[in-house]
Amino acid sequence: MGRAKQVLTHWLEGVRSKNIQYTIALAFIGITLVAMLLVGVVLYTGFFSSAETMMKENNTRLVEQIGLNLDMYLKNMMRVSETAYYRVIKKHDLAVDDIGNQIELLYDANKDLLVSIVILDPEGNVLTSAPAAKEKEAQIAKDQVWFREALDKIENFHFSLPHVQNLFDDPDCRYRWVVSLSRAVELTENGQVGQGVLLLDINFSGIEQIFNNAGYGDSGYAYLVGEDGQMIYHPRQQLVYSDLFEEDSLAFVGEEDGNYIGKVNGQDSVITVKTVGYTGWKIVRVAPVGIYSDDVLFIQLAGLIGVVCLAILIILVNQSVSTQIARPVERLQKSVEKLENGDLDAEISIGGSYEIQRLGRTVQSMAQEMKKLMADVVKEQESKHKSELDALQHQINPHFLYNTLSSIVWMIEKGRAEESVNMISALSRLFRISLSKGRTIIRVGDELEHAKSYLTLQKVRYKNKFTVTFDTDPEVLELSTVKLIIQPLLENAIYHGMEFMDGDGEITVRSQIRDGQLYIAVQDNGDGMPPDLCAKLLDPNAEIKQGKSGSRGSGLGMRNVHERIRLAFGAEYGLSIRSKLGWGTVVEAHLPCIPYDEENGGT
Amino acid sequence: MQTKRKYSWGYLALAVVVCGVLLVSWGNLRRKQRLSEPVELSVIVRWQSSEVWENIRRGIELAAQDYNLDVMYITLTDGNSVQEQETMIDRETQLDTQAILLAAADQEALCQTVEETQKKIPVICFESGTVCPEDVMCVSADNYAMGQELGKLLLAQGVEQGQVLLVGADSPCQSIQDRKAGVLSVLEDYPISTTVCSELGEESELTEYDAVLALDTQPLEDAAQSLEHRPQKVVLLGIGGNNRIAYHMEHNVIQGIVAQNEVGMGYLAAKQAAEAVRTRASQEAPGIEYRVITKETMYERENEQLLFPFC
Repeated sequence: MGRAKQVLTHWLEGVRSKNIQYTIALAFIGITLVAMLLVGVVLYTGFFSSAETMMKENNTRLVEQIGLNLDMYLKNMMRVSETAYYRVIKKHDLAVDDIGNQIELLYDANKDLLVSIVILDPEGNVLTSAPAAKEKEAQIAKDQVWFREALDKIENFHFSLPHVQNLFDDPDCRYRWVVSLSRAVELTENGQVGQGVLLLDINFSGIEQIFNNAGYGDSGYAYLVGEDGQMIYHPRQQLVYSDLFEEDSLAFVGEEDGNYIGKVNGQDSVITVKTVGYTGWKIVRVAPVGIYSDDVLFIQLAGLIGVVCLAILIILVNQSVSTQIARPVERLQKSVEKLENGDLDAEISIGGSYEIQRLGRTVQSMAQEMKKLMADVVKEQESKHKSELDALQHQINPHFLYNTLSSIVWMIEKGRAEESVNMISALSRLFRISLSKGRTIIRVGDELEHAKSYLTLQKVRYKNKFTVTFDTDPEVLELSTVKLIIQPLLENAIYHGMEFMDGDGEITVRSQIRDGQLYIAVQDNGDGMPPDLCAKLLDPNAEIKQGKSGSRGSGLGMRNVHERIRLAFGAEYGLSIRSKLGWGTVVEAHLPCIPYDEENGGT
Repeated sequence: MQTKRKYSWGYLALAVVVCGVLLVSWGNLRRKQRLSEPVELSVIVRWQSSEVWENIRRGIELAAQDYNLDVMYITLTDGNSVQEQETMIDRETQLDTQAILLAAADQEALCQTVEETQKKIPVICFESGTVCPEDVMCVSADNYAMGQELGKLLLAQGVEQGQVLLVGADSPCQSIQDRKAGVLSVLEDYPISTTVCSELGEESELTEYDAVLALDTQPLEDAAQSLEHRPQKVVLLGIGGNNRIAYHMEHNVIQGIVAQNEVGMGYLAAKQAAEAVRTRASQEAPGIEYRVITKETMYERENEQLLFPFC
């Protein structure tokens, strides 16, 4: 049991691991063949069952007919015997009357059926016989079964087994097979009543004719057996006697009347048994099952060929159907495999049934979406890298560094050591915060510190042409910000707002929380900008004229800050610019309120 | 590629199965067709009298029903003529008979004709065979044993010495010669001398003989007819059995016989011929029953069935 389960499981696993076409074809074939088998078995069984029923009915009809005819025949013989006894023997004294003529008349009336009518005394001597014939020299009637039975059971008729009539000489050397009907009779001789035997030798050919005329043709045969199973008549009688035809005459002797199924001479047959009234003889009809199916072997072979051809047809059709179902799925699977391997340009196969087409289109759409997303990601990454590169470039602006270092040198030459130290310290802080251990997100406090260091250096250069005010909400100091976003804004304010200003310049750096959002604004009181320039500054597709000093203050720094904020926190964040000619400019960075910690600092 | 190859093997296997089934079906149908076609069978007997062959003929007819045979009976016009049998064999072969049943008139003289014919169609001997170098099947009782039984029957009749006439024992038939040998093998231990003659005529002088043994049916019938009305009673025994012989036995003309199952012999010979034509397979010759029957035992059931066959 366990082994069988193991084998079954192994087989099922094997089937599951095959491709869909194989599985579908196998399932279709299996189901169809099982259905065919079932239908075949039902039809086959039904056919033979109905054939069997027909045979039984036919057998019964034939056996009834034979039984009726045989019964009539035997009753007729018994009537002749009764007539001979009650109309002739009983009415005459044999010592006085010659009953020979009357017996002769009775014989003549029935000579087609009878071989002889004989009256014998208890010693077996023939008293009267018809037709008149010479007795055989060796009188042996006394020893014969029919004679003994008649005297043993005097109230009955006795039918013997077929035997050769051997009481009379026949000069024509004819030896005829007869069935003897014997009975005990009372013989009156000189007024004395004694016993005798009345014998009617029935022509066996009469019984033979009854069976031959039954009309069963080649569809089996019927035979007649005695009560004890001795064969009385068989269509192959001589062959049965010679052991050239086997018939088990005892097989159905003890059986009740009816139909039976059994093997006779190796063939499945329907056997019908009927008992003949008075005698207890049994008519046994044997009909091989094959005769009703015309030719069982032919039917079986034709059926087998049909089944094989049908099976082949089914296999071919199944294969075609399974191919039609499976091939689009396989093609789609190959397309998906290409996608898996990174080929986003792979053609997605769309075919087959509606559901598979739909699946293909979905995959196609998904692939296109993936492709777009991938492109966006690539673009975003490129942009990020570019922004960071720009930031780095701003951070190490060579002009700024050159000017700062020149100022420090000049101060040292002039002996302004303390101021030189301050500048170098500011420069050092500027670079420390710029590096920030490689982090892109830093504390707002650090960012402001960086801005202050930058302003310390710029103030030396611009000889305090402007003042800077830091208006900082203390709550913002521990929030997160993208690093180096204030410095480019201050640089813009200084170069564009302060550099060519006549009066005192004022720059305000305001850091506050409004509506739960962080805002860092750099405001100057410079010349301001026209609105169209304001609108273009943050538009990545807009062309902007180069500033007065090359890339410095060209607006690229501000756009870079805007992009970096959006990349870090989302498109809803970034810079906004408010400017008015003659009034000044406010550039405000909008960021989320995210408390700074070491974990988010690196991203 | 591998799948395609697997499918190809599958189709090939299916094609082989279908071809196999079709071949088997065709073979079966062809075999059934062959079986349903009647076999033309020629039966060539010896002697002219067809009555002698009546029981054998009945057996052949029963076989003809069972095995679908078209039977042509050929009797001779000139007694036990070898030449006539040869002519008949040639004629029947030319007429495209499919098999020949032959009661050979001569055990040696017919060898060449039989052997040549056997190359074309099956030839099966019955009742009397040949002693040809090539084996020719013969369906018959054991003739030598029957001869021995006849010899023993003679002894049982009290004839243990004297002169015994063997009627019909000069025939060159194999069956007769075997029977004769069987008889002589039993009698050789007794002071019995034997004389051979072809037939017993009405005028034949029998005073010097203590018994007459007829080795064939026709000589036995003839001998019984010859002795029937003679005042001098001679023990007459023989091989053969029919109604006429039974009648003579009942009238004490014949004291005993050895009879073979002639119906069975005819049936089996015809069956063998049918099977030889249809299956072309060589088969063993079946044995035939024989019985010793006397007046006292002739109505015993088995003897009755043998001597007076149904049909």
